[in-house]
Amino acid sequence: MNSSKKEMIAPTLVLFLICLVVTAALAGTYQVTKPIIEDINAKNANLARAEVLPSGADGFTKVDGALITNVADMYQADNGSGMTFTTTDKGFGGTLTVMVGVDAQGAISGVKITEHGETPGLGTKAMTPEYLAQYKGQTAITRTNESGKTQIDAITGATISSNAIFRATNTALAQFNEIGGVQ
Amino acid sequence: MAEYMIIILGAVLVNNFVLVRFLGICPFLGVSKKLDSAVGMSLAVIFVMVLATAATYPVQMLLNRAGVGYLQTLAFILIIASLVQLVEIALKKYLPGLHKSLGVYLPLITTNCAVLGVCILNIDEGFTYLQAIVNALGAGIGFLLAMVLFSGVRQRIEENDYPAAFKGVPSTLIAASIVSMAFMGFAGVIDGIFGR
Amino acid sequence: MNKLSIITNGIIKENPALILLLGTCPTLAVTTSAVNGIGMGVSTMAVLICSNIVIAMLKRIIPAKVRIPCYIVVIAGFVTIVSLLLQAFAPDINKALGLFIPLIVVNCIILGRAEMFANKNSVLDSALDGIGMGIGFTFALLCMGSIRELIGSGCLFGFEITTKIIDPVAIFMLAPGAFFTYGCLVALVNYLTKGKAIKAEMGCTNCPSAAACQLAGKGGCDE
Repeated sequence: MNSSKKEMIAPTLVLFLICLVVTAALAGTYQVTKPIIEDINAKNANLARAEVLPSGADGFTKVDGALITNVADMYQADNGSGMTFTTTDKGFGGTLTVMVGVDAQGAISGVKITEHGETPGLGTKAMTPEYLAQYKGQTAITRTNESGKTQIDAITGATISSNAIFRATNTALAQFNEIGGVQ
Repeated sequence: MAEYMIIILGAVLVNNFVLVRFLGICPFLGVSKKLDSAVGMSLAVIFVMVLATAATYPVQMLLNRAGVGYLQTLAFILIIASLVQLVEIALKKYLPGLHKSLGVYLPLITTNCAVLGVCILNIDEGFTYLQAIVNALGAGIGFLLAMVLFSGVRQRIEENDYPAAFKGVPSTLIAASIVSMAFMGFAGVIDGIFGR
Repeated sequence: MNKLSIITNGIIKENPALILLLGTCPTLAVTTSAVNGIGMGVSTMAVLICSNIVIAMLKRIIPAKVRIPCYIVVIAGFVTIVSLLLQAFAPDINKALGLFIPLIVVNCIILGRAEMFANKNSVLDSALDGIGMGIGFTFALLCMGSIRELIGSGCLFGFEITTKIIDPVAIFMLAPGAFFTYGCLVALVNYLTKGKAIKAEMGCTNCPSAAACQLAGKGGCDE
């Protein structure tokens, strides 16, 4: 009885010790890399914001407020020239994350895809600056033939990706209207 | 209700775990030759996937709350390994019949990327607990579908004559590429049915 | 065997992806471009070398009963470290490899070599085996990635090569293309070695679960 208990204890103890050592090593690595990772993320986010709202390139501040579905965050340009929204939607290959810039008049100043799982060469055709340019300056967009709204075309062979980008951009516009524009 | 249908159809057809997401290829290439071992393995996979999701999802919430989200890989794999071990012991003791048909595949599933994959994907896709379980179920059913399809395909292939260089694994892989192409056709189906 | 042959073993004679047929999931999933293939190969190699060294160092301490869980914990630790380092210093590669970085933990190559080699050989030999297998794996991924990138998008390493001459066959960047390319590569290996190199299809000899599997004694999964 005693020796079989020992047979159970020794292996479990070794496993436990190894777990402890490994966890300590991980905690250490995490401490070291965490500031670097956060830095990179913040830098990239700011670059993306400046890209979709060039007039606000000097600085952005986060805006706290009620977010509608699929809106991750909203920032406002420090000079009040507009806002940027991070929105998401389901594309062909998973979640698509879009950064949309809206100027103070409610017109889209830029659309940028920051994260996606779309097919390179197919879905990515809907992410080129040339294709996304049709969003610029629009205050109301649609995929069908509605009066008073600008019709957005999808790319043949990349319909699902194009639609996802459209929905995400529309969500940004809806959020802009929801909070009543620039605060 | 519709959202659960979307999740299941997505996991079984559109993003089939084996043929589209490339998870669980090793057992797929190795075990799919005979129909009964293919089915046995797949049922074991469904079982483990659902259980593992049920166990790992709450653990991830605890990890996040403690601020140690980076321990995800370590925690998940340990949970899956222990879970499989426990399930095997329990089956042997209480359901020996089931153990005979499923039990042998259980240790193989521990190192199966499909199980760890579905647990991590559930977190990445931001599902709720119930959605995650449904997704795991769908993933397992998709695995079953691929395995059963292939045991049939492979038996047919074996009966035919083809260049020696392709005998064995290469023929399965090329057959897989054709079936995978067929599955690509499902991509628009969900959007079409549920009108998004 | 002498030190150099340990390394070349992993590259040629027992190439994990092309001969042992281990690590098939990442081979198919992340080879959408040559760069991604190299990124995954190098990341896996890093984990493989580290885990081989540590497991070889601990082989006398780890009791046989819990050896698989212990190996998994060590491997998971190194995978998380590599993942964090990638996020901090190579975020583009990290994004491209995505889900498959944490999945390195269940990459049959690493557990397989731990079980087959590291727990029976010296620390130096295990490290060399890790290097050899890692280079072999990276080489296979590079082949897959280059072929798929070239045919699928006309580019190589991001440089346009044939886009103006031939229309790219986009399906090569997707799932079917992955299966097809891998199948052809393995067939090529079969042809070059006259069918001798790749032994029994996915036999028990190289499966890392062979120790735990009850079918191993009865002829394996194929029965």
